[in-house]
Amino acid sequence: MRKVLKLSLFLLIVASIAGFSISYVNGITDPLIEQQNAEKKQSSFNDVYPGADDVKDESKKYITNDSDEVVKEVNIAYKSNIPVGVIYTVKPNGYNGKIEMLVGFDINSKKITAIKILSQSETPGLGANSKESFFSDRFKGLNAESSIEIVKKESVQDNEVLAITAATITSKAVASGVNVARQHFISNFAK
Amino acid sequence: MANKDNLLVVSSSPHIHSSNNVSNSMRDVIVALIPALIAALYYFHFAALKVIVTCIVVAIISEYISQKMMKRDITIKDSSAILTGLLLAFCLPPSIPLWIAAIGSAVAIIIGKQMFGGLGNNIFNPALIGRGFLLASWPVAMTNWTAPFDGVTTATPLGMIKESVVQELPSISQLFMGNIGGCIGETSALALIIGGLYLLVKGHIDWRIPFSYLGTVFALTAIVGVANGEGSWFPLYHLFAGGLLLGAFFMATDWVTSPITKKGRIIFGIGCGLLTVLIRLKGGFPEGVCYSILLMNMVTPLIDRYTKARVLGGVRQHA
Amino acid sequence: MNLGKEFSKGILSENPLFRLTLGMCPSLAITTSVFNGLGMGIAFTVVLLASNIVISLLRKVIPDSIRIPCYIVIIATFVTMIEMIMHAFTPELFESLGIFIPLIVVNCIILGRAEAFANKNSLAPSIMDALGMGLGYTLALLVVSTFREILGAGTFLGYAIFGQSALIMILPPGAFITLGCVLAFLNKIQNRTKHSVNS
Repeated sequence: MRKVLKLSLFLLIVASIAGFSISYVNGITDPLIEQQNAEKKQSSFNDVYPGADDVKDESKKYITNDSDEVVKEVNIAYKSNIPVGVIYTVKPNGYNGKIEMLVGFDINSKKITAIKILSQSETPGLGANSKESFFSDRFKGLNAESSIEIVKKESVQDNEVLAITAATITSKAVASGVNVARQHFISNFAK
Repeated sequence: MANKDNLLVVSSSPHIHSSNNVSNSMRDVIVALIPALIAALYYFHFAALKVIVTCIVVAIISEYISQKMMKRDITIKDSSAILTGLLLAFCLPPSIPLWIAAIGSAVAIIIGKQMFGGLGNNIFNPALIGRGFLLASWPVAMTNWTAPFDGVTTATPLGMIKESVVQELPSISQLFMGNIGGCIGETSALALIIGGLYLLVKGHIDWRIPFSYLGTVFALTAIVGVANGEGSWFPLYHLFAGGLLLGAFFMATDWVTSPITKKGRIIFGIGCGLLTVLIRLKGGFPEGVCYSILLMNMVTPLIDRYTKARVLGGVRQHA
Repeated sequence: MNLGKEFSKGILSENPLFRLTLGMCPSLAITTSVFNGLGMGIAFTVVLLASNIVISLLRKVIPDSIRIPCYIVIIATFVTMIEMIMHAFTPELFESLGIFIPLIVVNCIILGRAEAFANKNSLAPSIMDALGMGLGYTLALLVVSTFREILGAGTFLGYAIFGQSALIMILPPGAFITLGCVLAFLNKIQNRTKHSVNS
């Protein structure tokens, strides 16, 4: 019995030393990580809606339906305290998993300003190309009032987007994310 | 290696001498592929010829070099490398760059066959290994289809079904004759059926694998077709389009990589059919013959073990 | 005790990946680019060095019957620290290595060295052992990832070399094909040197 106590006490000491040292390192690195995440978020907001003075997370106000699987965040971009744009964080299902991406809309013109893929786990060399600008640029300036379709032919009409070669599923997933954000935008911000 | 359970049963005399051997049988399979070869040359002209010649030449050279390096007997005379090269070429698109076809052929022989120990020891069908390698490596080049005769870029019938653009689908008779976009040797259902029947009549393949394979695909797609309110064209399309006939008659029946028991062969065919339909209807690819046969190749030893006939009067062994 | 020998054995004769074939899971998964291989190798070496030092110092204090839980706690502590530090200072590397940093905890090489070496040897040989093993593992990762990045992505350390690369090499099957070929090649060399020694 005494032996068990002794052993447990020893493990307790080892574990507490480990715990304290981890919390010490965490104290140093945590502010840095926080700062990085905030900066990253700010710069990606700037990528999808350039020129805003301030971007505020107003998800609580606009995501009323808790069961919404795709729309994760609604951020409003302000210019001199007037809301001018909306930036959505959406997570549609891709070929290998969720694709996390930002979709920006301009309230005045009702057009997509830009999209940006934040994280994805699609096939390298194929679906992973969705994060490259050549693909996301294809969504720039599209009208938010009608549905966006993925096509495989060279000639694209209004609100058609050319798929990534040999990665139609990923392309369609990105478009579905944009469409969900688009519907939310139209029903909430376009009056 | 010599496991007692696997020893051949030798019966007492008299024995009949058969002229069948590896190289004769290989040559017969190649003969059975000639109708499909003619169809390929007729529809895709010089483009098909270039790919076929490249694949066969590279297959023979790779076989020679790897056997030389591994200090094995050189067996290029038994025509098995020619057959592998030909089968690989048949499941490539006619517009494929020749260097990609050459790499596929080398991979099929070196990684798919010689690294496992040469003819008779390979787990997977070498031609399908080559195709799988190429499909994963250069998916764009491997899914770039051209129409027969004029070489204009087009989609395959299965691709059209996948993208649900059914109004552009070619007619069943076009499909049957092979006047559609697709792999070099897969387009003409008629030519493949003639070749398959030749092999069946000559006794080189067992009817169980192709028939259970084709039957499963037909039955499942018929059920799905009825459930979705599609017409009778739906199962017929799945039967004649894509690589199903080539796979069922010439690849799933590969002597080395398919089960040896009768019951096992039926299980093998049903498994291939099930996986093919699953991939075609639910998967990311429009065609699933290649991967379904490779997957079933993997479980062939298991099927054989569980369907092996027990020795009459023998004591049941604990596995 | 020959310190030089303790160092050099990890590089070739007892290379953790190529000779002991330990730590296969992260090695196969993260070697898609040379950058990842290098980052994983360095993170691994730091953890191994720290855990070897601590375990070697405490080898007379830790009771024998609970040594494995102690080792795991010590290793896990260092891994968590490395993870936080990488997240804070090299976020790019942190993102591409992803789940495989926490999994260094269960990398059998580290526990293996603790059990097989550090708890029997004094500080100096343990440090040399950790450095040698770490360097050997890093080199092995570099070899595999160099082949895979050049053949699979057509780049080396991100610089384009040629287009039209074979995608399969940076997909999971490419890892098995590459590792198999390297192992076969090393075995062949070993057999040849053995033959020449015998004859």
